[in-house]
Amino acid sequence: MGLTFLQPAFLFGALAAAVPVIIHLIYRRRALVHRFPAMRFLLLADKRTARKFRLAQWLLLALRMLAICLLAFSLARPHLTGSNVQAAALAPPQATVFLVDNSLSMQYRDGQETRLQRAKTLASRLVQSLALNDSAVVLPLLISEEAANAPVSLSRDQAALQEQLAVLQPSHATVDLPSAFQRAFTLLQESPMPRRRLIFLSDFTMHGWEEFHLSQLSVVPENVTLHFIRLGGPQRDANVLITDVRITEKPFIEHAPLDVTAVVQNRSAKALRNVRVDLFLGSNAVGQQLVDLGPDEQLTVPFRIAAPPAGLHWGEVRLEGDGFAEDDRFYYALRTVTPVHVLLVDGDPGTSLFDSEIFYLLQALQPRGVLGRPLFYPKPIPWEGLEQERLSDYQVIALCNVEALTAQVRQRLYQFVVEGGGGLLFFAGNRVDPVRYNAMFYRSDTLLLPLALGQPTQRPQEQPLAIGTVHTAHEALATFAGEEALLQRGKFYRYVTMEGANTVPGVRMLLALQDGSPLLVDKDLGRGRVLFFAASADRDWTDLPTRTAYVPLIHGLVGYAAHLSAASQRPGSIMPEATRLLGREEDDGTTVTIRTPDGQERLTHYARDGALTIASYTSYTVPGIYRLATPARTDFLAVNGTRAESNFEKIQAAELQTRLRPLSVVLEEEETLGQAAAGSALPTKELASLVLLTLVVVLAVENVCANRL
Amino acid sequence: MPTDTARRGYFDPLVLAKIANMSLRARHVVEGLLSGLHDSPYRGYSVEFAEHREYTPGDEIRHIDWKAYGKFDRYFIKEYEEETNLRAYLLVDASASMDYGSEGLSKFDYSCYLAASLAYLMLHQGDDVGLVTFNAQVQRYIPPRGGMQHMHALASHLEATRPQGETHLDQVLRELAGKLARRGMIIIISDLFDDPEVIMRALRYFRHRRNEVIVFHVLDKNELEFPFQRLTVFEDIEDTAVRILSDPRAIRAAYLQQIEAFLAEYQRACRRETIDYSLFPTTTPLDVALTRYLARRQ
Repeated sequence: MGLTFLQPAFLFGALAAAVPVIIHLIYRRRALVHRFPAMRFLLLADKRTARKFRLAQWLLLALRMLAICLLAFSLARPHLTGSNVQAAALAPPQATVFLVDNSLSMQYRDGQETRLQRAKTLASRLVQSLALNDSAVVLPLLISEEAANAPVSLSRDQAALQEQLAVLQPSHATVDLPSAFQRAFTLLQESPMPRRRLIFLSDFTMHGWEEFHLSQLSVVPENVTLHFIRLGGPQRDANVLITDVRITEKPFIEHAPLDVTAVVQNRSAKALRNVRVDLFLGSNAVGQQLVDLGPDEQLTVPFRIAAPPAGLHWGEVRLEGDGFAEDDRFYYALRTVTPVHVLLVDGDPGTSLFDSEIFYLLQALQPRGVLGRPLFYPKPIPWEGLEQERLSDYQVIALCNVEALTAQVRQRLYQFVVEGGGGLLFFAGNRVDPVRYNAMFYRSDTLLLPLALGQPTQRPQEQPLAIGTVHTAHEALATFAGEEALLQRGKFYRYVTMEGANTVPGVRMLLALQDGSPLLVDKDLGRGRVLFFAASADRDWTDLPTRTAYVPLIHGLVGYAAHLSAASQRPGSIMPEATRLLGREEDDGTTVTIRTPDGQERLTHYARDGALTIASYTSYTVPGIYRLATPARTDFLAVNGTRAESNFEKIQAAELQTRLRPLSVVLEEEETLGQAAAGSALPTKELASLVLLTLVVVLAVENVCANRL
Repeated sequence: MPTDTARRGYFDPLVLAKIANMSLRARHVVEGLLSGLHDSPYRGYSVEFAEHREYTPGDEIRHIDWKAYGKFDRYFIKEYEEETNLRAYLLVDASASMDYGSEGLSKFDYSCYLAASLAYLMLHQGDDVGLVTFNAQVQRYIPPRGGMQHMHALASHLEATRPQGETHLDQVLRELAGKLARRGMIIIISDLFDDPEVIMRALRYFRHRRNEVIVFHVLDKNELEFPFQRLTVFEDIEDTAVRILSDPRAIRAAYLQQIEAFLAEYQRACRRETIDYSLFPTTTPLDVALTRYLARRQ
C-alpha cells in the first residue's frame, strides 16, 4: 500500500506546524519577570503541578501541530493506493506485463527527475501492489538484440521485478511499438492466469504511433486489459534542438577561417527569445550566438572561427538547457592540414618560364587558396635537381615530361609514395619514352606506373580527340559532377596509350578520350597514390591548359594525391543508424578499434562490399566522439543522439483508442493515477474526508485540553 | 462626627500613604478611631489623682473619698491617673520580603503604619512602647518608654528603615528573649515567611514567660490570591538566584493550597498557645488592627 497526493505542494503547509512552537518561544522570551516573596510556596506548587502541567502543555502543542499538519495533509488530497490488496488477494490471479517506455523522449525532465525515472518509480509502486498470486514481468519498450533473444517469463518474485526495473536504461534505439506489443502479448498469451493485463508507462509522444495499429500484431491474447499511464501530461512539450552542424569550404587549412553552421529548431508552439547557442572546439568555447526562434521555426546559426592546427579535432554545439537535454548538443569532428607542398619537376625546362613544361601547372597552383590562405605551395625545379631535394618536405611530386631518373631517385620516389603516403603525378610529353618508362617505373622494385605505357598516338591536327568519359564519382573529379562539359572542351592531339586499363586490378580510369583510350589513371600504392596523365602538362599535346577546367582539374588531382579529402568534416552518425566507414581496398580485413566516449573499446572490421571497402559499426553506447584506430591511421567519428524523439507532440486518448481497437484502453495521467472510478491500474482510496474528520476530532480535543488548563 | 465613608478614609492604608509624616499618620488613625468610639470609662487606678466623680451604685465603697463627703455631703469616688504596668514591644519585620506590594503599598509600609498607629495608641493610653526592627537579626532595638515624646523616636526610626535581607524570625526572637527581661506585650508584625514550627517554638517561650503575644500576619493581596495570568518568571525577592518560569494559571490552585495550609498552621498553632493571631492583607483598614489590639488589651 502506498500514499499519493493530488496536490502535493500543499504538503509544504505542514511547515506551518512550527507556528505554535514559534509562538511558544516568542512568549517564552517575552515572559514577565516578577519578584515575588512567597517563592517557597510557588516552588512547592510548581513541583507538584509542573510535570502534569507540562505534559498537558506538550499534549496541547502536539494537538495544535497535528491539527495544522492534518489541514495541510487534507489539502494535499491524499489517496491511499493499493488499498484493495486484500480484495485482490481473493480475486483470481492475474498476469501483468509492465511495458516501460525507455525511448529517448522519456529523458525529458519536468522537474528534477526524468520521465523514465518517474515511470520506474510508478512501476515499482504498481509492483508492490500486486497480490501474492499475481505474476508479472517488466519489459522495456526498446530492447537490444541480445536482450530480445534472451528468454523472459512472468514471475511472482517481487524482488526480481524490482531488479528488472532498476536495470532499465534509456535507449537510443528506434521506437518499434509493434515488436514491443508483440513481446508483451506473447508473454500474456502464454500465461495460464485467468486475468491478464498490460500496463504501459510512456509519455505517448507521437513518434512510433503514426503507423501503428493493433491489426499489425499476430498475437492478441484474450481477456487482456490495457492500462496506459502517461508521464508528462497530454499537452505538447517545448523543445529546442540542434539538428545538424555543417562545416563548409573544404579542405580545412590550419589557421584559415572556418565557417561552422549549426541548424537549430524550435519544436514547440511557443516563440523563444534569446536562445543561447555555444560553439565549442574541444573543450574551449569559441563562439556564442543568441537567436530568436518562432514557433516550429528552424534557423541556421553561423559561426566563423580560425581553423585549429593541422590534425584531428572535435567540438560540439550546445544549446542552453531545456527539458530535453539529449538533443541540445551536437558533436562534430574535423581534420585540418597544412597547405600542400608540391614539387614540380620540369623535364623540359625552356629558356623562359613560359616555355617550360611546368608553366601552366605552376600557374594553376599559384592562385591563392580559399579565404585568402594559400592551399598549395608549388616549387618548380629542373629534373636534374630532384636528387638534391628532400622528398619528405612535399606531399605531392609532379614529374612533367621527365625523360629519365636514376635508380636511386626512383627508389626514393617509391619510398615517398609507398611509405611516406605521398602523391606522384606523371605527365607525358615528347621526352617520355614508353619503353624506357616501363623499364624504369613499371618493374617490381619501383612499380610506380599504374599501367604499362604503349606507344604515343598522334592525331591529325584537324581531328583532335576530346575527353569522352569523366569519372565524376572519383574524389579527384568530384568538382566536375554535372559540369563534365568543361573538361570535354579540351582537344588532344597526341597522347600515350596505356595497356590493360580495365584489367589491372586497383587501377581506376578517371578520364578517357573519345576513342576510349585512357587519359588519366590512378592507383593506390602503399600509403600513397600515383596518377598518370597521358598527355603533356603544357600545350604541346593538348589545349587543355588554356581551358577553364584546367585549374580545378589540377587542384583536384593534387588534392587527391595529397589526401586533402581527409581535411574535412569527419564522419558522423545519428544513433542508432549504422555508421559505414569507407576504407581503401587494402583495408579489407583490417580491424578498426573504436574507443567510445564512455571509455569502452569495441572492434569492427573492414570488408569488401561490392566495389567498396566498408567497416560497419552500430554498437554505440552514448553520443559523443568515438576514436577510430587502424594500424595505418586514426580518425574521429562524431555520434549524435537520435532527433526522432525530439518532437513532443502527444497522441491523444481518442486516437490511442482507435489504434488499439477492439481492445479498450484505460489511459491515466501520472498525476491522477488511481483516481479512475474503475479499472485503474493502481486502485486508490480517497483519504481527505477521513483526514478532515480526524482534524475535527483533534480540534475538539484541543479545545477541551485548552479549557482545562 | 465623621461619616462611615469618611471614617473609612481615616484607616485606608492607601490614603495614609499620602500623609508624609509617620507620627501624623499614627495620630490620624488613632484619633479617627477614638472619635468613633463612645467615651471610654476605662480609667486606671494609680497613685496619681485624676478627678472626682459622683458615686454610682456598684462602685466599690473603699474608693469613696470620705473627705469629700465631709465637705460636700455627697458621695464622691476618687479617681486616679492609671499608672500602667504594660510594656509593649512592637517587633516589625524589615526583611526584603516585606518590600513587596501590589497596589502601591508594600507590606513593610503597611506594617509601619500599623506599628506607628499602635504605638501612638499605646502611648496615648500611657503604656510604654518599645520597637524592634529585624530581618535575619535585630536591626534596631528601641527600649520601651512612655510619653508622647517617645512617639517621635519610634516614628523616625520606622521612617528611616528600609526592608532588606532575609528573614530569620526565630533567631530574632531568641535574641530578644534575653533583652526583654520584664514581661509585657509582644506584638509581632511580619509576613512570617519562615518555618512555622520554629517560629512557634520561639513564641512559645515568650508565652511561658507570661508575655502577651499578638501576631499581626501581614500579607499582600497577590500572595493570598495569586491573580497572575501570563507566563511569568518568578524571582525570589530575597534571593534572585531562585527563579522559575511558570504559567501562573497552571500552578495557582496548588499555590493557594500551599498558602492556605501555611496560614492554617499558624492559626492552629497560635490558638493552641493562646497567641492572638490575625491575618492582615495590606488592604485591611488599620482600625481593624487597632480594634483587635484594644480588644486584647481589655
